[in-house]
Amino acid sequence: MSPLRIAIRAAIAYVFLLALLRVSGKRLLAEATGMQFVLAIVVGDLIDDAVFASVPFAQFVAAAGTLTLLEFLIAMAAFHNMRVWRFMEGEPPVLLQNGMPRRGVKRHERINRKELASLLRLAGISAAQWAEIKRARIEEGGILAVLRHEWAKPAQRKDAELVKERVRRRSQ
Amino acid sequence: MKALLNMTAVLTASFALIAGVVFGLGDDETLVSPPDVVARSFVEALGHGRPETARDLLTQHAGRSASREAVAKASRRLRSRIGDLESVEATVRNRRRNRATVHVEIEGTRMRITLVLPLARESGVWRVEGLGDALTTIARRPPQGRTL
Repeated sequence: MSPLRIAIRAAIAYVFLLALLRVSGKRLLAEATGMQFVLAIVVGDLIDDAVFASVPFAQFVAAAGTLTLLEFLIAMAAFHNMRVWRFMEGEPPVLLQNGMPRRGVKRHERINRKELASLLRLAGISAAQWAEIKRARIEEGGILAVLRHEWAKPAQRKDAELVKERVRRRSQ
Repeated sequence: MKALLNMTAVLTASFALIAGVVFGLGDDETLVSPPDVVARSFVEALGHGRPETARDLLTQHAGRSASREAVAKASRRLRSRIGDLESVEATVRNRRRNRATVHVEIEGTRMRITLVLPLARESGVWRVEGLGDALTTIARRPPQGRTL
């Protein structure tokens, strides 16, 4: 197969995908949902067939276009309707609550204790500090979000004011 | 809503561009699969036991004359002859406007054979039009190790 024709097909596929991504307002990969990630892989596989002419270019446009259009329509529906959003994204699973790992959720998410400890360490929390955690959940993008108990949060200026107030009351 | 319209416009413009290049400018191997690729895909589908995929690559006329059973039978025969498909090399030998002849070298675990497939352009894309000949070639079994 002529390298020139492969180059022409690759260039056309690139321009087509660029135009499609530009108008669909794709989020960055780091912010992509699971479905967007799957879509990226599927389109990546489709482009291979188009570049090496295993399928006519119209079939590639039809497949990639339909998938992107569907993803766009579902994203729009999820933006306007919370039920659709919940159905598409699911509730972020709570892995740890009041310092205790939730076994059922860990099993469902296939995260063992060591992996959980590792995720928490990356968030700057050692095993000895687990009791300080009110809730730790995996957000969309696989990022662990940790919410500490009020008493475990670092001291702030308002806390100093409270201490001063108590000291003043005792001294009276 | 504007984004949806833009996306529809991109898709429509892409299809229009492809149609213009294929039907208007007569492109027959850049935005459509060239005949050797179609012939190779056809033989690979037969060799891997996917007769439905192979049937989709036939011209309308050949598709009408070759039933699903006939294509499935051809696929079984080919596999029983060559064993597991190892490689397929297709070369365009003769090409005139909307017709082409492709020689397909098929190498299997048992033997190597050559098929001559006639192709024709139909609705802008290349299709295999001579399944009958290909089947006959497969059906005539030469001694093992010899090329058809």
